[in-house]
Amino acid sequence: MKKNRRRVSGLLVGLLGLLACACQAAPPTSFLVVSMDTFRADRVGAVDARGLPLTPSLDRLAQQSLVFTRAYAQANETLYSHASLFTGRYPSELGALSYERFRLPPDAATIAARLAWDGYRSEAVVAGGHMSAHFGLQAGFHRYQAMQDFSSFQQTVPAALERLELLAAGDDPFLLFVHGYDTHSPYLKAGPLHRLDAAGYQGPMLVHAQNPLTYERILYDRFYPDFVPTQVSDGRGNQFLSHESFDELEAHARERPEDGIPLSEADLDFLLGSYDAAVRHADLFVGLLLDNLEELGLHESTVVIVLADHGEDLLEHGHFNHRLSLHDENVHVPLLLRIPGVQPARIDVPVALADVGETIAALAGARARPGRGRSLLEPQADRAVYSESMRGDVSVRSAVGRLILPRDATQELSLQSEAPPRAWLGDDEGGELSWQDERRAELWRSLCETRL
Amino acid sequence: MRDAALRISWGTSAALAAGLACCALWWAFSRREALPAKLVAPIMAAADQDGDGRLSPQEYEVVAPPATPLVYYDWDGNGALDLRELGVMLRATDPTWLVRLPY
Repeated sequence: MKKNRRRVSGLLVGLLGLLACACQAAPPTSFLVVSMDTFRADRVGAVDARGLPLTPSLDRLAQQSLVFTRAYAQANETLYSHASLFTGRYPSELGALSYERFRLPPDAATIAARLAWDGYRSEAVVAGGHMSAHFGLQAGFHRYQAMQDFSSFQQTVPAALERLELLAAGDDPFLLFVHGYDTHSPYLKAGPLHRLDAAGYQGPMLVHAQNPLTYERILYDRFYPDFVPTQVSDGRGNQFLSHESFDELEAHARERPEDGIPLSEADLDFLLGSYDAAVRHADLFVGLLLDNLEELGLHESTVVIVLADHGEDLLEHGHFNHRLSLHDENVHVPLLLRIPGVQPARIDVPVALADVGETIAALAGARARPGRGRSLLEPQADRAVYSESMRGDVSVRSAVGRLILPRDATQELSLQSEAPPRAWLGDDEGGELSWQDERRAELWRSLCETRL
Repeated sequence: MRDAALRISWGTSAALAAGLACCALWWAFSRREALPAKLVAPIMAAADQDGDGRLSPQEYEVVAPPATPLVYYDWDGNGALDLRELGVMLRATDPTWLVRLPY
């Protein structure tokens, strides 16, 4: 009951905030969208062991923003999540979820393309890798600058600042999209301070962490240095980790348990701490970007959106990665929306990353477009949010709870059937629901409606 | 004699101009490379165990990898990193170079 009351109050606060938006906001002219790759929602506002904030810049932004506390990505992987973010479609509606085959069509109705029709200048500065132009994500952008593969905001933000200065000097309103892999494994982006959250650690993982695939060889509290993760090609010679490698690691661990080197508590603290140091690094550079926005006099004319494309499993389900499942750790993402003149508010109803494009379109006065996205400026109380993975898992989250169907279940069922299959089912606290619970049927209906 | 005086005068002016240009470049470079103190302060606070506002070699060594010794970033050579030096370090060091490098 208490929880329902909290939800209702959160919803009311959110609706009030949105109402304020409608009443007070001057027409914004430009948009700055920051995508923090692999950034978990629970790290925004988190503090370290000494009570010091991990994300002071994001905390400052949150104090001026609509904070969507239950935002979910439509995919647990960079390429597909951004494709969905840009188009407002589910990833599987855009192409086969395979690195070899997935290409966003050049004429895709991305938010960049839609704004271009309305006279906007659209630019992106991204950190390569899964965001590389050959995947088609540049569709609609006037300029799409991909930096070194899997680099961080340390590279993209300075480049973005140069563009921001030029855009500020121009006459056209703009959309500037900035991306960085700071919190993507290996979590080394804090550079010279990457032991900041594991001070004094001198164990063997200090050396192993330098190998880009170390984190992908860890299963719970064991390290399998002899395991060779499978990699796949993107069709242009670039190698990416296959999502099959997680199953293969589990099989390897079962067949050859003697290969696993036990990790001490200090080892694990270092590995987990390196993620938090990367969080600080990302926050630092996002802060730099936001400060420059203000210095350039764009603070009052630019809508700022900060989000993550997906989260990261930090051993909660055994792995250091995000493509294994659709659990909250992997798809619950931060979403901050600062609209000049709009009162800050917390909005506690489920929303989708696919809504961001439609929200930008609404704020820019662009025509609405049929798709999966819905403007975040509209009430979202009845929203059911769908996600999917390249492994074949699907999930739905709503005010009722969440339903996650592993690929084994999705392979056996038709989404048009009336009864859900035997599948993992949990409420918001992660506990199991009984199969007789009426919420199961409601979530099942939501899943069918969102997917069909 | 007059020509010689003119040459000295031109030479002095050129040297002065070059010096000023160098100063301007140094100023522009240093402004560009240092992250603002407001942003660096929380990082400093997290690493600065004794709260004196700078990183001593002992404080630095427990958070940094041996591959990036403090001397790299200690511009004024006083044996510790202040807020500005830390700001330059964070802005100028490309973290990706650490990958695959043995300590």
